[in-house]
Amino acid sequence: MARDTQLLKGLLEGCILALLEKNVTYGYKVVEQLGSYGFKEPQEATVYPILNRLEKKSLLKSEKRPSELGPPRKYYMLTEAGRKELESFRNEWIGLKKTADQILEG
Amino acid sequence: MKKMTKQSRWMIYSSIFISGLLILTAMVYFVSSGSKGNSAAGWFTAVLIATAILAVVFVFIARNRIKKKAGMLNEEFFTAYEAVADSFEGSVLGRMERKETLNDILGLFLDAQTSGRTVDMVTGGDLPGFIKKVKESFGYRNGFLFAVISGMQYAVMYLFMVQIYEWIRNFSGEGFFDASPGYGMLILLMPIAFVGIPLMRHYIRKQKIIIAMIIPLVIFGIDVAFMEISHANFMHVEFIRRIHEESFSYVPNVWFLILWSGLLGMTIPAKWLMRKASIRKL
Repeated sequence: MARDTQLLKGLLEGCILALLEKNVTYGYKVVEQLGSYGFKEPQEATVYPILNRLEKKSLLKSEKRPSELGPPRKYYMLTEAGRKELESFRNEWIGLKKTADQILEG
Repeated sequence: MKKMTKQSRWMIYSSIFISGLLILTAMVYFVSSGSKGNSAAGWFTAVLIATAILAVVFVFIARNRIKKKAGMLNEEFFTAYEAVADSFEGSVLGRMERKETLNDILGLFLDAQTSGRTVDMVTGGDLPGFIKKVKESFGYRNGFLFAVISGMQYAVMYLFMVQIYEWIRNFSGEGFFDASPGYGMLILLMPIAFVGIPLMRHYIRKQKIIIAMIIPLVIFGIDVAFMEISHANFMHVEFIRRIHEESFSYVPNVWFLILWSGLLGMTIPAKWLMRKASIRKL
């Protein structure tokens, strides 16, 4: 079970980088988008710490924009280091997927 | 107008209780010093009472600030937000990190509330787990080492405060460096700085206010018991005799003033460096 969580966390990091490559957005929208792609019950509790960690590692940067709900929202965007990380994730994932497919499909 | 949550009420009641105890102690001190002509005792009592009142006002303002800031949240989200805010108090996160993270979480909660989600849906039914994950996303930080550094900060400030008090209390023209508070006070202050305050912060973060409230009383009780028992039975031991009878200056000259100030000053970059190092470990 712990291994599932670790695997999902790594996968989520890559997917979040990919989502943010397409558009600049805020935490709740990332949760919604992950859900719309089929991630089962993505939670803010999982996504926010990942966004925070990616920002601390300088893979993302953020800026505050006004929100109609109240306090300004934090919008996240990829940095150059984030783009490189995403590229590296894509290559690793394609290789891993190919290997796993070969084993699973016999 | 949103009612005050149980947690806020507890915080305010306990601050009133502790401040009441402090005021009572100050009054007893003033009366027992029998010093109507002693202006130092009067000033000391007044400062203690003012501090006690200010502490209650500060707690009240802090709770109201949370209420005002997160006033748009419904009761369920507000209670969760308050728990997050309390858990960050005195944590190893920096002041700016705390402020920014709380803003982010408030934004997340508002978005979730507007979309009809519940706290359980946001946190997966595990609010403490969510708080832990958020803290971990800042990198591993050695909480024990932070507590030791904070203890050093409190310890040095206490040394200065006691030295100043002793200087004013017995003031008769001698210099600040000549004031001699003695060993006995250290036996009370060092456990408060290195054990009491870190433990109180730990329990406040976990919203266990009663335990946090009891800690200073327990330390004070242990100190009184130790002083009484040791005085009655162990005065023949050199160390115990010194504690009871001898005094010395905590800041005997300008070099010690520089030493203690330098130590206090060094704790700030030390904490900053530890925070920076933790990010590299992510």
